[in-house]
Amino acid sequence: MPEGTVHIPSEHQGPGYPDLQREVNYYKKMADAGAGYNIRIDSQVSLLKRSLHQKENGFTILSLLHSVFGSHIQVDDLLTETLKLINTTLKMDRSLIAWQDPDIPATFLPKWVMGFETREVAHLRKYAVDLSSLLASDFHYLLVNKESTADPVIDEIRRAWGFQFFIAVPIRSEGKPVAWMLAGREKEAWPFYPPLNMGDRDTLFAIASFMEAALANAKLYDRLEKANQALEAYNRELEGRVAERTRDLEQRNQDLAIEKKRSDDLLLNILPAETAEELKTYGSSKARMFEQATVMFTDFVNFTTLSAMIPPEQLVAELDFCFRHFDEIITRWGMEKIKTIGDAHMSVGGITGNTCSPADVINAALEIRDFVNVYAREKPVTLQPFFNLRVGIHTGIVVAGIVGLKKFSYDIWGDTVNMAARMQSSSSPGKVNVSESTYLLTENEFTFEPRGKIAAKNKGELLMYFAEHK
Amino acid sequence: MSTPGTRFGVGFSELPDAFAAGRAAGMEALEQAGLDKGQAQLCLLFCTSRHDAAEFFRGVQEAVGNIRCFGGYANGTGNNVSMGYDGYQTVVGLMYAPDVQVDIFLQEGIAFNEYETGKALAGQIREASFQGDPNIILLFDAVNRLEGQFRMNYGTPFIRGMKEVIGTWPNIAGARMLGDMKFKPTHQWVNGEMTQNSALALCLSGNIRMDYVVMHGCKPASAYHTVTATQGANILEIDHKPALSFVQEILGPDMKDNLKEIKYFVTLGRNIADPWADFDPANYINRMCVGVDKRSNGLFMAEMDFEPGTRIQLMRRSFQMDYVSDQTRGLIDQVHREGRKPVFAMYFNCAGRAASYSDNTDEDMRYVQQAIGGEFPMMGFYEAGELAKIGGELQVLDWTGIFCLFSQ
Repeated sequence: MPEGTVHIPSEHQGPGYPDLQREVNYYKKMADAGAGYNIRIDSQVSLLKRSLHQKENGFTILSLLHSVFGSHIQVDDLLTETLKLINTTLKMDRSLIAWQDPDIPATFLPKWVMGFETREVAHLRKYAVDLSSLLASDFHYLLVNKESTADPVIDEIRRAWGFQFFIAVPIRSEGKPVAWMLAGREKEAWPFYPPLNMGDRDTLFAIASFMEAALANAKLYDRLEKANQALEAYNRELEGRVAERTRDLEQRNQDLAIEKKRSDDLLLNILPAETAEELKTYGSSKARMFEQATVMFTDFVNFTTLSAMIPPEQLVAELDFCFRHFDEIITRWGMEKIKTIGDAHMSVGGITGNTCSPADVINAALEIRDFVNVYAREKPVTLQPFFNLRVGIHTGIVVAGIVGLKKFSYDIWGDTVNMAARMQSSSSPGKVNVSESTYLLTENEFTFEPRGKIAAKNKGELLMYFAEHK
Repeated sequence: MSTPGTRFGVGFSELPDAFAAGRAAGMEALEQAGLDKGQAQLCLLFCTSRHDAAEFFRGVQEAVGNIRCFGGYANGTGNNVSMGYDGYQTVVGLMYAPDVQVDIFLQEGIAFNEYETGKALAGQIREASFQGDPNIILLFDAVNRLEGQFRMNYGTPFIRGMKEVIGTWPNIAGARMLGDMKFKPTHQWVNGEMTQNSALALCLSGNIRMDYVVMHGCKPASAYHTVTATQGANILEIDHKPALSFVQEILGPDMKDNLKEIKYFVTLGRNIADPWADFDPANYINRMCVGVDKRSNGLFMAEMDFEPGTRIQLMRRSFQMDYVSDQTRGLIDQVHREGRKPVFAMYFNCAGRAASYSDNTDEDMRYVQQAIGGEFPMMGFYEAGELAKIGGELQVLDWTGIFCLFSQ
């Protein structure tokens, strides 16, 4: 009985056994033939699919590279990502791009690598390989598998760069190879890692073409980027200049503002605020009449004698010290300083926006008097008698304003001024002498010492009062 | 019902930098699980051999902290939405389950003696105490380079060694680990250490149960025949004929001289049930041919379990994708019907049947992903031989996928 046929024990063999035996063997052979046929078909389909798969991988990687090229402008990123795709999609173990050595154009040095161990990479980047023989041959590529014959360049690549089975294709720029791309496998393991063939080579050539286009784009982009950077640098310089100019202008504006404030302050120092504003706005100011202005005059007693006793500089310094305090006091009480004449100080209340009453003027006068009294005590005994004030105050109508074109001076005119001057000249040292009109307006606010009628130059006899704090 | 607080997250990365890939996958797993660094009980981690094993491990630890680890090289990985192989794929799974006991066992030296390694590993498992019956994920290094050239570490003696000690098989499944199809040495991670050449067992006990379904990719094509002579994993004769001549005769003249194709396309199947009953994939153990021996006219098989007297059939790789989807969904629905809640899944897939290696157009892992959707986290691996119980006995299976579903 042939091997593999079914044996039916004799005790089970009946009259129909031979036919049954033949029938079983018939079906068994048929089953085996079917199995062989099906597996052969599977094998043939598999071979076709493998070939299609190789093409599909090629298209897949080109499609992926298209995306990569679209998203990576930087050459480093682009080439690294390309090598990664080559390894994973084409089932390569390692790949690299060796760039032309600028000093020795026939040799190429690995610059971008993928699939090598860390310790291999440092070694790899040191070894350039002379690929001039490839360029001189008719076939500008290398396809190395188990069937390949020995070749010095193959041996050199294996030794220097650690490839076993590989494909090498050039990457060109302006028609000349500037780099070589290599991709390879450590071993051939059918069917998972079949020997590299022309299909793989075609795929790598297509990738190299893509990379050539990408490198050209990158070069163009690089130029554009440089031009852009130059433009940006120029823009930055212009912006810097504008900023510097702006800072200058701002500084000038600030200086002008400071100057203007200083000028305004000076003007306000000279003129009442309303008059100063009017002058700034219109270039001139109209004189105005005020119904109830209270004019004050102060005068140091025997000042002429003092001027002979101390140096002029000291005299002026003393006056300056005292008048600064007078100015501060009258300003605090809402009065306007009009002028100083020698040792006399003239001021007025009730002519500016500030509400300054006649009582405020008397308060200012008393404060000035008290200040001078205190100050006098600091002086040598011989000088003390000269630091003594006569103060006169009168309330009435004045006309106030500025006149002339130069050296503006705010002044007041009218009989009230003369009356106030008379009150001062008729006062006593250390006293504040007020006229009747002022007295009547303030009589409930101060202690007044009636002096009766006192003759005043060109005015006849006038009622006068010494004012004191209550 | 799952215990409140149980968390599982999976991260996937294809970054070419090993450290960055480990860290990215670890961070994604942490985020998906809603865990903080150092909080997980267990880290499952796998990457391809394109990655530097130490750097990948360092990257994962940087992200997840110094927790217990279990994993190693795989030829490819996947999660619920991504998958790939032969590239820079990595996957990290993180588990936090307070009422699950985690035990990890390591036995080194499988390349020296598979049988003794199996015995020693089973001995460790037997000596340990678990909360009820453990659910075991078993992984062992596929690559044996002791003799200078590659050969598989065989599962048959390893399983026989385990069986002698462990007696009755607990709930167990797993795979033979392989980082690529070029058979580079396999790296493995156990707890906080790296190792190689080892068998690993992850035992989960307490409030957790593993159910699995085997996704066979082959169907019987021929009549039954009998293995009549073997030498280790080399089948010398079938029906008393030289094994190679036997298959050459069946495959016919077109393939007769193409030994590469014969090696690739010959898969033998052993039916452990009634030979005349309708085909049931659950009763078949498929064995791939991994080489031909022209000297002895024999067939080198991926395992040495087809001994003389074994009745075999030539199998045809008619991989059915809908079957994968249906089987996966069927197991999930069954677990739901029992009132259990899936926590996570693992899919151990035969690397050889990945589409680009097997010239298929579809990836079976895609069908597993489709069946799961986003219902629970999944980790997928491409390895070299799957381990599952067939007829109550643990077997090494070829050309298969094993979908393991863990539920509470």
